[in-house]
Amino acid sequence: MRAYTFGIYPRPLRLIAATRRDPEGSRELARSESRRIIGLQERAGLPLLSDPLLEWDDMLRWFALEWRGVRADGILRYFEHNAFYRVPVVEGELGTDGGVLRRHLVIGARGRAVLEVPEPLTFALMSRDSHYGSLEALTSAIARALNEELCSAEGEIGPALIAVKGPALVHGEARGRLDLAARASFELLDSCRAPALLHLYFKSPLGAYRELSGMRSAYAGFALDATWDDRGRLAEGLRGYKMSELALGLVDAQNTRVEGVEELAGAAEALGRAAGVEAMVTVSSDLEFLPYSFAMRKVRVLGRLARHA
Amino acid sequence: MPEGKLLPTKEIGSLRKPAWLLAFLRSGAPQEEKELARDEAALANIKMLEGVGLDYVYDGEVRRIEMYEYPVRYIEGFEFAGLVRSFDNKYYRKARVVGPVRLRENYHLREFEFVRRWASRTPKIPVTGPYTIADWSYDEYYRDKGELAVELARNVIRPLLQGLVEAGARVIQIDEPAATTHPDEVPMFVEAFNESVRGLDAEIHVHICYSGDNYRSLYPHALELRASHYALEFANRDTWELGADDEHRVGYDFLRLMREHGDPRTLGLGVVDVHTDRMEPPELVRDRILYAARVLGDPWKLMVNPDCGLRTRSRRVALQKLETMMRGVEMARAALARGAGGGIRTHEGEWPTGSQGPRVGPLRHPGADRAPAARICAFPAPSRWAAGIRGPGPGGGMPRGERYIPPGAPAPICPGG
Repeated sequence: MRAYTFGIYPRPLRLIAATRRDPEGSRELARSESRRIIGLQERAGLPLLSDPLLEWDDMLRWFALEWRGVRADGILRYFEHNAFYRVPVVEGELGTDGGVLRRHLVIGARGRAVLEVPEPLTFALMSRDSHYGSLEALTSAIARALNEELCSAEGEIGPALIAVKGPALVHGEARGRLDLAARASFELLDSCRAPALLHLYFKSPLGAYRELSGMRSAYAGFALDATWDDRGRLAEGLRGYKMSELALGLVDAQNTRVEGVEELAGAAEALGRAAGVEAMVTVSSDLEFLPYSFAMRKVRVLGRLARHA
Repeated sequence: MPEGKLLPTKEIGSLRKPAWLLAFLRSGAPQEEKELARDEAALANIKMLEGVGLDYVYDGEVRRIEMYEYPVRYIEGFEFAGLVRSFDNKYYRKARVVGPVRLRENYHLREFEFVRRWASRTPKIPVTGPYTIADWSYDEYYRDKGELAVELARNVIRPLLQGLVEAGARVIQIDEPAATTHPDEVPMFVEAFNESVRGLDAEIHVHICYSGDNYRSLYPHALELRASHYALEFANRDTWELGADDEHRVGYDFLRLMREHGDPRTLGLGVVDVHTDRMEPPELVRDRILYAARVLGDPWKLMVNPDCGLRTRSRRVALQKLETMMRGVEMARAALARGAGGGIRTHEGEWPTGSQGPRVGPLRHPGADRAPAARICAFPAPSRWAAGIRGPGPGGGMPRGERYIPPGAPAPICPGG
């Protein structure tokens, strides 16, 4: 069974301590710890490998710091977590040298890597705009800038999969605006070769999934957080699945309780059967909501799940 | 509220611990001496806050590690799991619930008794609320978060608060930063909150901060909350441009909601951002207050505070932020007295720009429904505009020019009103 993690991992204790002492000086340690964690993913048996994003303070941070026309401002609650991100404030035309992902990722497993970017409408909804004047224009500008990042990183990394992280799409702010996400996908993924999955997580993904699956988009499939809904309801929702790829976020990245592999394997099989595709398995969200040791247990669960079939 | 005082001021909770204290606590000194050192630091904080001029004070939470980890240490049923990020490279220790929750020891009693002994202003004790503890924990034991939150309210927070009230606590601030984290769960927060304060004879404040939805999800459920006062973070989400208008005060939308819902509670207005060293000009503090006074239509519904605890700032910056806040408050008071608030609506109609000051109607504090408070009315007032409403507070004397109206007396008819 194909399996992968996505999102930000918790920082190991020594990296937290080093970053406290010297934020800039700890960057090299962050990169070496990232490589070590990718090694742990491999040893756990994950067929696809993801960058643990240890250099990222939040999913938008380096874009907000290094793109033109935007800056990182005060903190705001990160969706429904006891965690916060710095709000990107868009004050001018967005622009990039296309090198942000390349500079701040260490993943290099050509053909096995998962390359991650924020979904453009999610990025826009998490930002404050004082330049574009409309959500549509801002989303489109973000999609174009992210596309430059993706094209540049894809050439270098050669990913197996592009994970497009769209947690805002399952929240109220996106209600009635999902057509913007569908339209932005074409600008975002223009010229990309790897299949891209739209990740819907942090809340029940079913509403957004139903709405988006009726729209044209450039996505090859969805990755759905499977920890919110009753499995029967989720299976029902997946009947008639029309896309080529599906990933199920079965391993709960928000609770320390460690799942049984048999139970997860059964769920993956049943849900995949309902959708009529061989589903990949993943974590429900970023693992950074768990302490490091528990996150690693979850990676091992996912690895055992991948080997189970 | 301190009686008869316009724009009373307070802090929210934590201050950074002094370096000397941290060094001493790390030393091999005997426990008794460490406790004395904590006392000294608590006293220094109390006197610093009083020296700044705040009306409500505490000890900067100097004995606590952090607002979640500290209480959890004293609650049965929890086990610590490890560090989880709050933001940037800031972390807190998060715990798992692995058994029934129960209060092991009243973890705030000694600190409260110390503050009560030494403070000459009104002590306001901050206490982490049940919903926040539930939301910030991994639950591996209870059926769901709602059950955990209510069990925490009944078996931990209520007995803790009861002990504090018996020890003389009159103003309790329940910190519920998680209250609006999950908009769907606001009723759960309200239920647990109300369970925790049921039957308590004290003025209950609720502090909420960094709401992802600008506190919109609080309504209508918050109208059922057994609290008389909100203390909220706003400055963090506001612009730094001067102006007491909608265009510049974008972080303060909640005020309109309060007004639309006819919420009778008073509001602690967050006017300084606690996550930046950048110093707000006092004029910005003033404008935030004047804007709030205008939107709420009544400056007497306002207290003024920083957005949140100041412990992420150095002590020097924290002190400067509080001093800046106080200067801004003074400027706002002066502007309100001049009538420069710009058409502030009061209970009794428009306060015209250029008038001499706000006319104040009989503000009914929600808590007053249970125990009618004495009221103050300006007499003889320096102008046709009255000042002051409520009876004398624990730490405050009678402001000059005001007369005491005993509890139960008819609402004051202020001179000129």
